[in-house]
Amino acid sequence: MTDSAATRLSRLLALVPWLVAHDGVTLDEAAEHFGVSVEQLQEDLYLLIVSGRPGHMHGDLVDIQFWDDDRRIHVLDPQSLTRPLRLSPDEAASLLVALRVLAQVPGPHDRGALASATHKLEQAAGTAMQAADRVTVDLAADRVADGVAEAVTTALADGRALRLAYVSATGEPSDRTVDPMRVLALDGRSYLEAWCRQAGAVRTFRLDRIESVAVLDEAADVPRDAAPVDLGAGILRPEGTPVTLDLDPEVAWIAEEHPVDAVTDLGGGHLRVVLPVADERWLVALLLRSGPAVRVVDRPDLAERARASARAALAAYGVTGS
Amino acid sequence: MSQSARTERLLNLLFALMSVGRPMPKSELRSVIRAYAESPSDEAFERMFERDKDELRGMGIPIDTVEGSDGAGGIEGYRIAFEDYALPEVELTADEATVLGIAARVWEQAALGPAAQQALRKLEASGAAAGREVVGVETRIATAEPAFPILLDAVAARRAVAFGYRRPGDVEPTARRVQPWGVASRRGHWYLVGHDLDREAARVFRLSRIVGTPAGLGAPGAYDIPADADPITMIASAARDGGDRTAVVIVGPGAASLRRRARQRVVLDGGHERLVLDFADDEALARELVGFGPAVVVEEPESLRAAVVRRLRVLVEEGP
Repeated sequence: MTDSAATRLSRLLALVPWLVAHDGVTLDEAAEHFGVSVEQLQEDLYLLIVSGRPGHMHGDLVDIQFWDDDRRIHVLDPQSLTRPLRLSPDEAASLLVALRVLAQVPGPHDRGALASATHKLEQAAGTAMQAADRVTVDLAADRVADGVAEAVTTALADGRALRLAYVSATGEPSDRTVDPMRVLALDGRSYLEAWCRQAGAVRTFRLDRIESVAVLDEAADVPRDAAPVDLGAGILRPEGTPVTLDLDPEVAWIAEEHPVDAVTDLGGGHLRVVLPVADERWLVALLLRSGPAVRVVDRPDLAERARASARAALAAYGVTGS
Repeated sequence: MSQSARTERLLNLLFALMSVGRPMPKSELRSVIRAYAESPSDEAFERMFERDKDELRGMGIPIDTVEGSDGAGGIEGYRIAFEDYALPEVELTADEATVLGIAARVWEQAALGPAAQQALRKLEASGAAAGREVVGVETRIATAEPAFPILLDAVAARRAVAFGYRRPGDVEPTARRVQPWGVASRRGHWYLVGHDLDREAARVFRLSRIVGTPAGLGAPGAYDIPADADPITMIASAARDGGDRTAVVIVGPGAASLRRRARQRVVLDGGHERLVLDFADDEALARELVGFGPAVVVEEPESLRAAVVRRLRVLVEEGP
């Protein structure tokens, strides 16, 4: 895709001062930093060296040397492009909002540096920083138990193992010893990514589902081949067996709240969805909560499990189901 | 005209306005910038110049219009003051550069991603120390909704918007007219908060329910955003979190996740616990509790107990 003139000009205006600050950088390094091909970078440089003050006499033009065998770039005369253009409101907002998000995330990142970087950015942005107030991101919607954030931060900073009392999405409690890898804050929720010794695999644990936690004296020992979660591949999208459900209009939100593989509009607000189900107990709980407004199309056994669970619950109230 | 030629023209206009040290009259710009000199007519030049000026201003480049000193209100020329153009000197430590690097990755594929990368490059061009490639924390926020950048601009411009809005289960979207106050994310969902012009009240809209592209409505700057507008509180109360009533329930081992939100817990025999929960609405809490099956039994209030039993009966009789 070809850039627009404005996009390209923005890059050129950032490129020259960056090259001045990084004298002797190679063509490949500069291209990678600006996210363009080496060919595109060379075209940018050729455009720059024919530009400058009116008159276009010697001494009026940008002068950049970049054709030596070592492919290193030297800016001999940047003309008036000695400083980057000040931050636009969107640019200031994007970083400031992100810094405010990071301040809410537990983890080993340097809090002092976070605060001072925020302050310096606000100073540099000037009035553009007001744009950051247009965007609010709340990570505190789900309460995290006391001490969990601190323990996770300590374990990551000091490289220690953790003992967790964890409750799964279906309410199953478990005790696990884990070797922490990272804190992940993804779309509004915070997770601990760790090597789980019980599972013998990398697992993510929602911080608000950790009931209690202890930092162990033992050093964390993440196996060398433990692969971190691929954040580019969609955010913790569950794998599972597809189950087809018909949704009445009042429970159509299920298609909005859970990642569904397919949605068919059945008309009149009714939907047919295919939901990946990793844990059948989770689906049974969903069926119980939703009542007859959800119908399982292809798994009568799961519908029957929900019904049996409802019957047992009625019995616990001293009521006999029909 | 090719993109390259247009970029070159904009770049030369920028240099002319910034490096000459005095306001440049339009006529002089026409003679010193080759693309302007070659324009076939005065009208063509005027159109080109106005468009270029708008383009540069749209990028945030401050072009001053300098009025003539004769008091007649004529325009002497145009200039870019370097001190208004340039990002102030920012000296970042390596630790500060590191957190900014993490921050710039937060939006990755999202609407603000390119802006964050560009901002980081500008700061790095400003003599920042190189940040470390850290491990230990990563944050991502997605903005998949096409309305996101449009609403962000509408908030900035304080301009009302009109859009179709479809709640889950609605057959047809309803037309809404809103003065946007801000966009906010909670539990991974984006919301627009603002003043609903038809309901004449503050309202919260989920971006994923907006149908099509919001359209601007009326003039920019047409309203003020209340200083005490608190998007997160508005969204939380729209989602009816918490509540001022209390319920008492007995939970078994299978319902451990309910314990986390209990205000009070008493351990009983046989792995059971008695929990005190805050809640607002019988039906909403009953719906949640039924999901635990026989692992949760309501003691009080009676209205909640009745709501649970009624739901269980329907399940047994009509089934999922």
